[in-house]
Amino acid sequence: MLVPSFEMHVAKSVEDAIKLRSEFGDDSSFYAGGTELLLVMKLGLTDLAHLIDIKHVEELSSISIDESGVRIGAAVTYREIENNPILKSDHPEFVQMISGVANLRVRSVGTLGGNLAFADPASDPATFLLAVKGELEIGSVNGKRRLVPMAGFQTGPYQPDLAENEMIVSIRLPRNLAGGIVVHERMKLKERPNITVAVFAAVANDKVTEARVAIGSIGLVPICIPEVNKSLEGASRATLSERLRQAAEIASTEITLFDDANGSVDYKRHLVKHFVEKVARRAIEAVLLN
Amino acid sequence: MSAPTIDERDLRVESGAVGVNHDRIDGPSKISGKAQYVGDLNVPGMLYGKVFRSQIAHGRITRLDVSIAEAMDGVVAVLVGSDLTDIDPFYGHAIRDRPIVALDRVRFVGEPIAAVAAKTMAQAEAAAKSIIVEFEVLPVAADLDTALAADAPIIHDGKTAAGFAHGLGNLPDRDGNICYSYSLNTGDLGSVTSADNIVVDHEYIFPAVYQYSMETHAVIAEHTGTEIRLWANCQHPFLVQSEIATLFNLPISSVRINVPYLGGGFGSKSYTKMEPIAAALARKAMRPVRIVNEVSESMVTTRRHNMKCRMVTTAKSDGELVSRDVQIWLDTGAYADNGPRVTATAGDAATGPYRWQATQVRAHCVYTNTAPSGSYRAFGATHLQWVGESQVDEIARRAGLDPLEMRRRNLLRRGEVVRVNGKPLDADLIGDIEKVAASLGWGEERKQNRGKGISVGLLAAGAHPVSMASVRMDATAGVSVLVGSTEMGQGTRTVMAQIAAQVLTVPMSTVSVPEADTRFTPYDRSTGASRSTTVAGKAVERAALAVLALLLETAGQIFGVADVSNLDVVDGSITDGKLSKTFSQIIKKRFGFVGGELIGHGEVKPEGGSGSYEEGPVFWEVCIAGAEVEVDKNTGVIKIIRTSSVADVGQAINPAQVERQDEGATLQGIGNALFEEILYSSEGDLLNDSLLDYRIPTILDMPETMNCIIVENGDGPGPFGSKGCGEGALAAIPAAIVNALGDIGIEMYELPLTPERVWKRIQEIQEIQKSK
Ligand SMILES: Cc1cc2nc3c(=O)[nH]c(=O)nc-3n(C[C@H](O)[C@H](O)[C@H](O)COP(=O)(O)OP(=O)(O)OC[C@H]3O[C@@H](n4cnc5c(N)ncnc54)[C@H](O)[C@@H]3O)c2cc1C
Repeated sequence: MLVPSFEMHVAKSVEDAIKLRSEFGDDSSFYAGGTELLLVMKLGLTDLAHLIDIKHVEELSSISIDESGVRIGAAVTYREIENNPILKSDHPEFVQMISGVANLRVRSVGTLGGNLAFADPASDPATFLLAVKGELEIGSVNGKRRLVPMAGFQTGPYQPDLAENEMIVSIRLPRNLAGGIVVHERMKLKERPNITVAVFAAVANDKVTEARVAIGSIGLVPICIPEVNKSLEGASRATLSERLRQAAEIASTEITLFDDANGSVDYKRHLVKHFVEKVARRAIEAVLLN
Repeated sequence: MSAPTIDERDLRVESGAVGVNHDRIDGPSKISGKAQYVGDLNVPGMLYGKVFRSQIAHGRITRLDVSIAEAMDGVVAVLVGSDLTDIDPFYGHAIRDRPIVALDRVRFVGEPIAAVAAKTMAQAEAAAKSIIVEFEVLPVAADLDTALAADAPIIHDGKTAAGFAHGLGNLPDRDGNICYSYSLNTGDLGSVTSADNIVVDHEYIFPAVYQYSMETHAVIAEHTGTEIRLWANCQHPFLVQSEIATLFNLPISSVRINVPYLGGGFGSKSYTKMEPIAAALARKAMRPVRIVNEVSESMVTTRRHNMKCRMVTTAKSDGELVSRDVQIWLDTGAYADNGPRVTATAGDAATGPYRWQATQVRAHCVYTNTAPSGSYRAFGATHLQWVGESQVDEIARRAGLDPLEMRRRNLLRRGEVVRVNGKPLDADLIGDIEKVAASLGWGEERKQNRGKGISVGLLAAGAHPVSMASVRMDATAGVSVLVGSTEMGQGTRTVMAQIAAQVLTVPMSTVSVPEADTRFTPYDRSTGASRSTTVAGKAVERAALAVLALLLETAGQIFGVADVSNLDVVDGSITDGKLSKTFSQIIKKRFGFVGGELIGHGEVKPEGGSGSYEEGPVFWEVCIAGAEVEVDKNTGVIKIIRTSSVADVGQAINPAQVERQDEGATLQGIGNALFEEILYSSEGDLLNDSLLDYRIPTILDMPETMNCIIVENGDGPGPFGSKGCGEGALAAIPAAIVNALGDIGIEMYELPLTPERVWKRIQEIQEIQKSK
């Protein structure tokens, strides 16, 4: 199928992009890397008359890192993140997660903002951001900006918490993980991940003080289950194996799963259990050793 | 990639073009992007075609309205069934069961109902979307079990009409949805069973898979009233030519087909595919039309048969094989395509190259309401080898024998009967399997979660042995080889050039091999069944020898030598030991003035018999490979550590190309074994029609080591003792992988070996062990 014809508008600023979007409404969409959008258009699932190109907006295309944290413009590509020297040295786990997304072709044009705004249930970045308490900067009409936590941003499959004329402006990561550590793993059998697990863990006095287990790419949305986190808090070397087993058990029973082409509920439950235990162990053992 | 050892190569011809790793002659044009494929071609006045396809799997058409489409901008013609009343619109080389477009009934999702020709692609697509069709919906049989049930909806009625090239002897009538059955019996199964025999008995499932060549099906057709011209990416141009001629009531020579490069075939472009609908649309439009399928359309144009198989193998307690009983059901989809041939080849492969007291094979080709299934590299053999070989391994385990020893004891030896009345075994299978085992480190200490497997099989190769070629030498001694083999990435043009260069002692740079044009290129049955080097190559060798004979004849006159065997041919010249004349000088002498040209004709036809499949094959293609795999028992994910395959080619014309063939087949075999599976809903909807959901192997799935062992025993019927290759590894690799899993106690009965399937099987085995 040919892509239906459309008009392209190049936005000059965030405000300009939002204005264009308000003007054309339903018949328009932001256009970043196009790796999701063009697929959807080729399949004839949408028939948009206007695309608003946001790649040339300076604010959306830059990375800045200071004491308060890391700020990545929504239209920054995966490739730019992978090649950023400061991110590579200071946030290796994040960069490693990014460099495993999709394939080189997708990463050289695909953007972090596009991933989060599309809100595909299979998302490595969304899962990772949950574990590290990442935040999103949202821009709305009249120049309004707000910061929202990643947790709760994805309300359902393909449902980001964005009003029609809102956009993601930037993604924020904490500058350092307050003595903690984050570990990320995914299993990918086709193009997209079948499961992504990211675990943040912090320790004091040889005991886990904080654990955040994010499970994504397997249920309806990436999630953190409070009982799973709680079951790991207070764990020590002696109790770790038992606590990990508990956490994995709770995760695999609490999560909502469904049968589809990626597997049966039975298999997916097993994967949740296996990866939660494995990744949480890696994270906690690493901080305990630190 | 390790190179063949010296002693494996010592049979290679001494010098010249053959046995040398010449670069691909099509390489530069492909790498620079200059090579032309059908989708790149433009014919003056050409329109763009779009096919309108059925969205339901089975139904009677109650209304078809194309009036809106016909009135749309740019639309020149809309083809529907009622345009075909002046011809018999059914085609199919095996069974003529398929209308060019649906007449009154559709039988699978994706079946062409109409086709639009318009001035732009966008106009054609828009018009196709506007077509209105209504159905009386019929019950659907989207899988083998439903199609074979007593109350199954019957997908075809009326008498079975034999196609023009089925090659199957007497074609019996349909039995329900079974369109063809093949059986093969030796000995008396009833009399060989004994109480202490080892008996292995399971049911096996092989999935539907797609050939996935990079280039989809593409055709440009033009109908002038008295002639049809096609530019088509077909593997078998001469068979397509015959079929189109029959359909449109024309002499064969009034159909002219040009075949540019193919972006891969793997069987998907064998026999007739999109050519009839393109020709019929061009006829109605009275202008040339180009149709290029999308991937999702090519996936419903052809695919590999999914299969269900029940196999029982028995052996004595010491591992001596006794009997095998096999039942096979192959899902050929809504139309037979090459299903009957695939069924017979599967039947031939079912017993494997072993010595038996008795065997019984019953293979059935079954219609269902899914996309038609046809040829796919190593068809039949790939389906059956993993089944048979996993049973041989199971017996070895139960008899306490090493799988290699098991095969040493039971494999056929050179000269023994493979199939009654057919060609006896023409290869050294035990020698080959020993080589594979050695390269896998057979017998070395086992690593955790790792297993090794080997497998052996044979594939009836060569198809019908009819090929012709012309070799023309101009007055500058430039050589053109006219041969019908389709260049689809396998390197056939390079091989043909090497054969001609070798015979004529001329440099490769002076030999060209143009694309096939049926008006000028001599007949060649087909490009498939690993036959081109062996059969068409033989025709090229003979044609080149005919040119050489003409050169010698003239040289004899020049030198005044009556017996030309006293003359030597050296590097493009002929000498009597004292004087030497170049080919160019000889040609100018023969014709005078500026010279003329020499034309040699080469022909290969069945020697003695009829060339029927039963008395074949041209040669038995050896399908031998081994694999080492590692299983992650927590996820079921399999990693292929290394593979090894044998290319038992008699003489490698171009060793590097042989290795590339085996590597490609290995990777495709890994895809068939681990990932690939076309999924249908119970309503017959194709659920994974793009690369996002249909998983093919990528470069990341390549084993760390892929070892191709070239064996050159000089025992092939092709030029310089060669025989074909390229399919064997595909049949052998899935079997080797399944056996490697069996080696660590995970016996699998269903492909592909998806992580979930493997994980479930591991759970099942653990349950069984617990309950013991
Ligand atoms: C083959 C393939 C493999 C993939 N594999 C993975 C994988 O392994 N892991 C993974 O996590 N993901 C994977 N993905 C998803 C990939 O990460 C996304 O396709 C990519 O990040 C989308 O970014 P984009 O810039 O191309 O978005 P676009 O296609 O340009 O946009 C997507 C949607 O988001 C909207 N949008 C874009 N930017 C903004 C913004 N700033 N504010 C508001 N709305 C916006 C657009 O309007 C559109 O609706 C894969 C995708 C493909 C095609």
